[in-house]
Amino acid sequence: MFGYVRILKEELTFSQYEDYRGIYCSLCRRTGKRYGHVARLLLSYDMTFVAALRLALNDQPVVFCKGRCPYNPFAKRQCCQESAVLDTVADMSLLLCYGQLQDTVTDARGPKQWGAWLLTKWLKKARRLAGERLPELAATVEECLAAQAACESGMAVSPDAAADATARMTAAMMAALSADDRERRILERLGYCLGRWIYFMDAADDLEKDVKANAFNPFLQSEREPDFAALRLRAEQTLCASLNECISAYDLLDIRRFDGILRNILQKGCVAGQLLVTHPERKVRETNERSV
Amino acid sequence: MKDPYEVLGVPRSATDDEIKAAYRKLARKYHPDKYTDNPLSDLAQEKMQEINEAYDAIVKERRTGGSSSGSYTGGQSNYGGGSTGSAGSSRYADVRRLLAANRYMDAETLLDGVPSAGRDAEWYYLKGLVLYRKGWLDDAYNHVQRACQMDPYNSEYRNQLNRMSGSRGYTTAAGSDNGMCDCCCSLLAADCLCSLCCR
Repeated sequence: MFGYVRILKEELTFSQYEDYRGIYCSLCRRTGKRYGHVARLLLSYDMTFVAALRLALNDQPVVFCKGRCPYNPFAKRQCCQESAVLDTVADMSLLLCYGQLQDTVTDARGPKQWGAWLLTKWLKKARRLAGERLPELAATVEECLAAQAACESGMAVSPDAAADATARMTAAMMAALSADDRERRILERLGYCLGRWIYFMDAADDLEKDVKANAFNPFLQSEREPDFAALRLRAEQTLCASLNECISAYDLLDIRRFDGILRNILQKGCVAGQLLVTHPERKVRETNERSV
Repeated sequence: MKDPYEVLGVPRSATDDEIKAAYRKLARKYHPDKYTDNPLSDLAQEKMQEINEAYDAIVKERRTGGSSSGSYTGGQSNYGGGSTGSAGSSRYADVRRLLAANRYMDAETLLDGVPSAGRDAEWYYLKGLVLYRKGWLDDAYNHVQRACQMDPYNSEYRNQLNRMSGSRGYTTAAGSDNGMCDCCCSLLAADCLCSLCCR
């Protein structure tokens, strides 16, 4: 994934920030346990949000304990005790990130491509294992990646159609977080809109690069000399609409804990990232001015 | 039934004002206006009903025998039927029925069956609603915009367009605690206060 779904650190309380780091550490640990140390490299902020959401929907209380990180042995970190609930999230993370890696192998050039290629080879077994653990999601991911590739190589489509594959993939992943029908419906909507948002963020971020490289970008539709300001404005509107839908869906969930963190991510962190991408001339994160 | 205090998220020792505030906050969160034509609107309505009942129960309990209800009762009657309101006269009554039942994929199949020459403002409006439910927010907006251009005096299309353009910026009320429109806020407040003083 891309790492756009992150916190706005300045607006979190200390304890919330500690919890967030704890969730990150727990997910990292579980990933390491299940798929080996190299798989830990794939961890992203996006998946930390998913992990936080999974824990927020957990019926049992979540207990943190102190532990040491093998990569940073001097810092004691919180880690959630029964982090086994995060196993599914670790599986999901691996499936999605592996898909992303494959994408990088075909799209990118240079050292980035070689690195991604190496990682895909290294993690092949882990990917198979994750596929066995979550066969349905694995099938959806494969189908969506194929649809994505077909869409990007075919003729021009609307941005919505281009984002559909990524959005469906995220929706399937989110829906798998809960067994309850009501929650699944909400999570699916949340996932769909969040997937869109991530896809459009990536697209808006890469606008200039894609023009130079003559690569596919959902916001570029057959213009000879694109007007970047207008395109970014358009991207911003779509991004806002998607994020607002996410929040409307999120509001309907019965959140048991971490509401402050999750809202910080959706209402502040994502917005800050969005402003950064759609107004690159500013270069500074404006935090308090706007919120969704 | 769930404990009404738990539903509103307040302790039993909360004062009347705190309960009112908690109720108002939740009513804002689940307000049916926020979920018009949303595929999750039924869930929002359930939530609204739940907090209405909880609030009523608490008010009743505290008055020991008082029976007037103070909750905001916009839910079902005003908003639930919105999308089926004009179904009788519509060319697309079946599409609207499917949309009301949240079967938007079937509705889309029906709509796509209309030849492009026969697509009028209402077609674009309904297609926009289908796309919105699918999560294709950009195309949805464009379709509703087109409907408004074809039939500029239709308030149904216009309202939908306004809602959609509202969510394409930063200043919407969605989810935030402080961004809600003052008009609704004062109305809600007045409504709550009314119920408390005039029995």
